[in-house]
Amino acid sequence: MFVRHGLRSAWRMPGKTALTFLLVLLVAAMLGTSLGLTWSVRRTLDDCRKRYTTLVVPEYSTGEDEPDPGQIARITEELARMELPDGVISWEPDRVAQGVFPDMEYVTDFHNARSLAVLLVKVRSAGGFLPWEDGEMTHGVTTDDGEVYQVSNWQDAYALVNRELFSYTEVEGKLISITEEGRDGKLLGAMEEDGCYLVCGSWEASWASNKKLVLDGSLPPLRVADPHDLSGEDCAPYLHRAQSFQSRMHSVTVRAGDHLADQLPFQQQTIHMEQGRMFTAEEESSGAQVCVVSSSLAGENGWQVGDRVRLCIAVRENSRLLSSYDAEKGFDKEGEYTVVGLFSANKDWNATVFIPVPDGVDMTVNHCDAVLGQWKLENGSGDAFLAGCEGRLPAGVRLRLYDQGYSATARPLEAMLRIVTLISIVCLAAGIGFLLLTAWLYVSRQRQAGGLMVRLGASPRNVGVYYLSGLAAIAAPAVGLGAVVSARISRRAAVMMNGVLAESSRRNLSFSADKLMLQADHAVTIGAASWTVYAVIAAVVALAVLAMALWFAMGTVPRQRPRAARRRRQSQIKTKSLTGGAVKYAWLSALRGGFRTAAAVLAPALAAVLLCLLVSSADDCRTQLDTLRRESTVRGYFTDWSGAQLNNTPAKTTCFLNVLDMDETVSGTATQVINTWKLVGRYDPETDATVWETEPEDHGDRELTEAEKVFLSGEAFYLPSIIAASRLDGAPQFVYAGAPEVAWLDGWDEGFLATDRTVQSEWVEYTDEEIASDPGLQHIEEEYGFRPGYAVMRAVPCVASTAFLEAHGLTLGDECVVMTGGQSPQMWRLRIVGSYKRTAGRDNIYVPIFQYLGFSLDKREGRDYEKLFGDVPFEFDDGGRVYQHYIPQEDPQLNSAVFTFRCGDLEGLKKHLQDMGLSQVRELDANRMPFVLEDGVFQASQQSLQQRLWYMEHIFPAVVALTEALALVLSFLLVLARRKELWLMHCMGTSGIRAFGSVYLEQIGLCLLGAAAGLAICQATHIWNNTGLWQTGLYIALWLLGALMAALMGVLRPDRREG
Amino acid sequence: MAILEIRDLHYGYGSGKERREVLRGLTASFEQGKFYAVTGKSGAGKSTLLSLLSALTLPQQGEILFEGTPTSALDPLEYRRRCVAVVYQDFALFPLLNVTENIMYPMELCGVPKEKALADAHALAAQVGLGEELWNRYPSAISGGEQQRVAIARGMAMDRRLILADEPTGNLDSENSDQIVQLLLEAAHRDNRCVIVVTHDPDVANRADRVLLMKDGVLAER
Repeated sequence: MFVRHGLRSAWRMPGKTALTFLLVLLVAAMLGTSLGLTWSVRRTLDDCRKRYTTLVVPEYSTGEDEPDPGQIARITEELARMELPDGVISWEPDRVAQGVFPDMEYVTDFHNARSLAVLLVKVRSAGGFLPWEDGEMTHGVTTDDGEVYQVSNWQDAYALVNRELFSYTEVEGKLISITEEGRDGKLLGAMEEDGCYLVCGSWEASWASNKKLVLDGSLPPLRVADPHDLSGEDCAPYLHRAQSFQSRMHSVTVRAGDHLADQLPFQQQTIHMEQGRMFTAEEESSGAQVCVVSSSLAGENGWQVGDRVRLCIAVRENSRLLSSYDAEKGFDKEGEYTVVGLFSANKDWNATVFIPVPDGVDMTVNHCDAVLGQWKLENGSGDAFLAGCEGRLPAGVRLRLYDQGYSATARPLEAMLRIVTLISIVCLAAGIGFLLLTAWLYVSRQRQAGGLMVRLGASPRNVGVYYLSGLAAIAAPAVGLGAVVSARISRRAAVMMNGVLAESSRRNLSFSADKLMLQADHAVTIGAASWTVYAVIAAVVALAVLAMALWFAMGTVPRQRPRAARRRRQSQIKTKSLTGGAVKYAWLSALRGGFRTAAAVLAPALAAVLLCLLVSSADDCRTQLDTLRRESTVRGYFTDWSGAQLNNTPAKTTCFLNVLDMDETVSGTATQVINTWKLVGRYDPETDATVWETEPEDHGDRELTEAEKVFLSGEAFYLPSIIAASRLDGAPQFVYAGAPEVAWLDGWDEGFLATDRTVQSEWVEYTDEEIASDPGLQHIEEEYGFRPGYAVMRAVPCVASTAFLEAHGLTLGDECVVMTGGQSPQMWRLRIVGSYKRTAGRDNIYVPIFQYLGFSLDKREGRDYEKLFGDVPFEFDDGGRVYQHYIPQEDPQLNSAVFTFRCGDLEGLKKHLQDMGLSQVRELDANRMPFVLEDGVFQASQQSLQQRLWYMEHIFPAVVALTEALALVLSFLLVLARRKELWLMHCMGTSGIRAFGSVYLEQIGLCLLGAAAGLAICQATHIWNNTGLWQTGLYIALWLLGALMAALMGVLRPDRREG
Repeated sequence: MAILEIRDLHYGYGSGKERREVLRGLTASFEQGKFYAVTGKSGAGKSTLLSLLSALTLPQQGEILFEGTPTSALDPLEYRRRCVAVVYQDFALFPLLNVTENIMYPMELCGVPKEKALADAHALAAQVGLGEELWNRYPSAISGGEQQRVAIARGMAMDRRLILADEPTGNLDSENSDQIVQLLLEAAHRDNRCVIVVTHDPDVANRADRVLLMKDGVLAER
């Protein structure tokens, strides 16, 4: 019966029923959408945590050299003992080389092949001395075809035509000039005109691209009578070379190693798996006959995943030199390998096959960056882990965080979660308010019914059934419709959020948690919550409104005993005079209003805080973004094609200068590493002479170049480098090991490193007048451009390590001379003005940034004109002398120039670099210099902030609008609830103005009080802002408007019914 | 002498075909010092009559004379402040004013000084039998009968000569009803006020000086 009556009452109050339906629908849709989205994003984030693996890889770096195995073992042990921050799941020490695998460099290497060539050439005419133009050497020779080619020895240049490359006619390079000296120190000898010769030697690939070829000649030229008959025994070595060359040109590079996914090309995403899979752990362990090949190679050969291909492999002995196929030795290993995966890569890796390495093979690391192992971390703890390790790592160790893009995906998701959670909280608060309002409205209109029913003998339970049945009949379809609406809105919102997510986490991922299985991409998609979620939310909304209605309904039931609250209110209330009219009444009403007063104060206070907080959050985000862009810097450096190599990358001087000359707003500091140098002597200012510590090589007798000997002897790994840097911070020695303390010579500091280039590159002009005035020597300058009696170069101030100083007995203020170990030796006179304690790597010497213009010591010049330079201070122990003739290096082989750029206009910077002929790695064309801009961290941070800002700018206005609208509704309802009070005043003869004022003044006072309190909180918590103030002002205005409307209704249309 | 005269009073709700005439030429007069009971079926127009008598509603036709002056010529606010009081079935007290303040409210509307208003309020409260311990309580903290006494005391404030009561005992038990009726009788007989009570309760009607039956839009002696 009571159910029937309840339903009937709902049916017979269409207006109230419609209002109740709409309010419940609104709440269900609002909460369903916000909570559903929160659930979806949280679920996606949890899923993301499960799917990704966060690895931290410690790399040991000496700055620019490869460490020796002993160092690696020591550092690895230190790491294993180190107390680690939280978040570590496991530690796996490893010895995975990221660079070249000396043991496992299976050949044939395509690049290596270019360094060897066999040519059949016909000499048409012999060249003479090089021509001179404006007194300058052109460094080239003009040939019959009108092109100018680089030659390495201009004195004995030959212009060759009618050349024919043995077996290959299509190879680039039209002209070969032949040096006087062979690679093995053997003279090529003069070649007669019209003679045909077999010539073999190295072929510098870097020059080949510019058609500037040098052929040193590892075998002497062999004259052949008939170029079409090379069957003679003398030709055999050349034929072997030619076959090797042919084989290499038609072979692919086979690379092998453990944990290939750790290798740089994979980590840098130069290589992406396209089909199939990487090696399994078992395959890696057993060295199974499986391979992963490039998709282009597979396409050319018609290979598919699962096919078996035959690989003939030449396995070389352990050597630091790159392996290469030798036709005399033949192949070492042949076998069929199953293709398990195809990868896509750039052209550098197109002709590459990867195979696993069996256990037991010594994986000696020989790259400058050595991976020591890996920590597996809990997802999301990577940054904290890095921060926790800061300052505790062994010197020379840096950590790389590989999270497969977890951060790139999780950060926007976390930002989304924060936003949707905030929205959910607002919606939840508003929803509870609306539900209370709904329940109260529903019950209040028939509040007499409860008491009447009890008087008629109904139990409170019957009363509850009466109210709830009616309300349930309305709420059930409302929440059902709300669930549908919220599901639809959520789906649209999810689509929108996925767009944002895709934009912000647009990054290919390296590998997944499945044993580092390679994947091209992780597609993280936010899906709308399932219907179950919306159904649960709808059910909770329905239950909540019913519970609230029940609570209100029980309030209508007469009670035998006063409730505790009522008993409390039986306390005496001091009688106040109402003199003062509306103001006094408003005052008393406000004081005694209880919940109503609290609501009228708290709502504006909370609104003020919320509005200021929203604006402040957005402003903070903008400020953070601006600060990030303004204050962040990124490193940039020249590199090789793939971006894998930092060191020994030749850079064009013009590129270097162009970067340095960039606007100061985008260009910061720069460092560069100059070759490998060695100390060769000390300069004694008193005698103005250099004392040699190491006897220079007699180049006339040596078989290998000095660089080759040093390189092969292993000494190069411990010799210092001269590093030109504008500041120490960021220089290789200081990057990974913090900032060692530097002791300075009095009057010197770090500033000298950035001194203007025009000063630092000056010579100290010194002329020996006796020689200079010798009339018999004047033709030298006219003929050769050398001034006799030329002076020593200026001592370059430098910073060296204390170990270096101790080793050579040097102190601050001393001067020394160092020499390069390259083919074109250079000498530097250095003055030690600062010393630092070495923490890792080599005893590098730091010189000013603009000291890159070295001066080459041409020994041959010295020899030829020995008598002209009697005052040259360099002497050999055997009495021989080397005379200083320094040739300014117009195009020095710069390498490892590292620049620091501000991030204010990164896109502009990139464009500028592009305009200068530089290219981003993997996006370059043939004639461009590859350049790496390490902006990944900056971009990730910027994207995260941009995304947060996007949310704030798009969602916060809706929250603000909702808040402002709530002000109007809440105040209207609060005042409307006092309509009976206004009616009573009307009955008592209270004037309309006084009645209006009694209610409205209270609202003004309470609203302003609340807003002031809220703004005070904002001020105290530093979230105050003018926009928030204006929005709070609008809130107050809307609050007062709502109150005004309700008060006017109450006064102009008196009604004894409650609102 | 009649304090209140009603002449040919017409009043109805709605318009056109929907119009329903509630009062149809009602004529009656009420004297001071008497207790009138108006009875009749629900919807007969009793409450409408009280609304017209208290000038909350204006007559559509006819007139109501208070002490010989048409109520339409009086300032309705002053009329309700000083001449007429209405007691409702649901007591109609200000929820946030205590008992004393509720009684003081009409006095302070008329500008009575605070001290006098307070003294008068206490006197009126005592007169209607409200113990001193109740004077400073909220209406919600006292019983229904006590609330109705407060309403009556408030009605007697400012010596208003006409007290209208709409089912004043409707929410009360018989004991409280008796006491409330007794108070209204005393207000009429002892204080020389005119008390008009609309009621369905025969016990109340039986104790009235005159009982008027509202039927067909007119009042008739029962």
